[in-house]
Amino acid sequence: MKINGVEIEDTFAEAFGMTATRILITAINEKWAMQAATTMTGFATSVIGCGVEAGIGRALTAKETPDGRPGVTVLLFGMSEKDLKKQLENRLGQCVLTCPTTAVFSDIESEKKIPLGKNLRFFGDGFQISKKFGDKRYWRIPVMDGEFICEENTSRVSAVGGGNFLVLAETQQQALAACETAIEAMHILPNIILPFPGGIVRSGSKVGSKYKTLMASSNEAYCPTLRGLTKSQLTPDIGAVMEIVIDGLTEDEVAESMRVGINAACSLGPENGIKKITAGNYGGKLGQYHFHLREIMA
Amino acid sequence: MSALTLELKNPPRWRIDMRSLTPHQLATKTNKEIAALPLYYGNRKIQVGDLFKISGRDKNNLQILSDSPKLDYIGAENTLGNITVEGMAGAYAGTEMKAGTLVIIGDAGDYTAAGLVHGNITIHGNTGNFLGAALVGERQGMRGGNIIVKGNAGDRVADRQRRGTIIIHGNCGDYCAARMIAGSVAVLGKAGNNAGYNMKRGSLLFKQKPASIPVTFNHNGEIDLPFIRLFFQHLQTIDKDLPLLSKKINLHRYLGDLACGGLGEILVMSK
Repeated sequence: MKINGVEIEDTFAEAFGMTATRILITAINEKWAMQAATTMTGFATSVIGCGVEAGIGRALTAKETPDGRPGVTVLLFGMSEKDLKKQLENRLGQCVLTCPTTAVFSDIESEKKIPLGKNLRFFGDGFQISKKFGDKRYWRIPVMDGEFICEENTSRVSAVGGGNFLVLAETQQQALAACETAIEAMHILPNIILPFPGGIVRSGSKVGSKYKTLMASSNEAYCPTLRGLTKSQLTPDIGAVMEIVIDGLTEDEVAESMRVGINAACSLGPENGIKKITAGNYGGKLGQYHFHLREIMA
Repeated sequence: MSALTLELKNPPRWRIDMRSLTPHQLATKTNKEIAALPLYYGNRKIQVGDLFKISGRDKNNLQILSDSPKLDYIGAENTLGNITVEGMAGAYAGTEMKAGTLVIIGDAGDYTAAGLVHGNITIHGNTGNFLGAALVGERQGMRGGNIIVKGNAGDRVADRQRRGTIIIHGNCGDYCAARMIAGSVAVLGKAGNNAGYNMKRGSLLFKQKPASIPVTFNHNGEIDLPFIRLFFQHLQTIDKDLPLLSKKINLHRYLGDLACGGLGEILVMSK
């Protein structure tokens, strides 16, 4: 299968079941809402080392938020409820509570509740005020710039993490340009995040290592500098490989984002050095979701 | 299917206890059975059919046509459906209502919505004293739900209120939200003396400064909090007819009652 002259390998991306939440951060203006969201989603590229994978969803206008101020949604994905709860509370306490003028609300509904301001309220040292509007309880925590408003709970939902595709190009610059194009196209989709820096991973990993303490290590089959030394997947014309990893709230949303991203990357074509699109998997034994590239692109 | 309608045949001489005539109790009954139901009329029991003309079949929507202020306990302890009173209601309308809606087109008496648990109550006219308050002997007033009064309310609005929201488009009397445990009250007209007396927590929003605020409240300053926007948005969600409240207004905030912990607040839109 070829799209715009770029080969789509007959393989699949292997993704995992995760649990996710979406929250809404509002502030006096979009700049400060975005600042809180950016701070909160820092160091959240992979559950392996960060505990949670997180990213910014979209910006909301003042008319779309509960407190009539501009806001930004943040999606967080964890491997378990326990991890998600811990990371959510830590990041909320250190990155959003501390950020000037912010307030936090749940932005997703399900029967599975996890604490948002439920424990954070104790920062108020007894001066915190509970307010219940309809079915929602809010906490008003006194802080030095006024009040920090935080909804008591948010919800968590089942989600999909680890959808991916790899762009194989002649040069590093060309791989980067294709990935940047793909990411720009994927950013308009709701309910997905691209947790790695700028949405791109250059250090794709395989499971395990020769070193016993490591659970993941460099994916040598796609490292151009190891061609000729290991069982490489790279033909001689490939000079660089970059990967885009996607977490989404549903399987369909991950598949759609892969389709949009691959189409955008392929739009540059072989004349710009884009040779092949493939995907990362573990033989289909570890992840419960398989995204077959040719089915997605059909 | 038209609403089940109870129309008063003649102005009653005595007070009528209407608490047995709610959608959840009438749901499975025929109009004939409803007409035969016992009803307290003063201190004696008579049948519903003796006082009311019954028509319509939709038991989920009950309509009461009344020009008398002697119909007490309309919608009390109701758990489903909609009740509309075309005219006046007596005392205790909607007390301890657990779900559904109650709309009174005319005036209502004392203790309207006292001990309300859930549901929505709208009074297009005026109400008496103790709106949303605790029933005599009870420790808590309304514990949830929403009350909208398009006219004026009497004294002791929200006395011992625990949760829920009251919006009064007109004026309210003295001791508004006295002994309030928590909850929200908004008054768009004038308020009488001692608003918030002995309140523990909760939020009172007044368009004008009440006639007096207890000395056990401290002025917290003229401030603009995100909570106020959230509060306004909540009020406008439950009352679509509420005049648009400005979202960029600095409110005077008073904290109290300091005799009861001081976690309550009175928000005044203009001095």
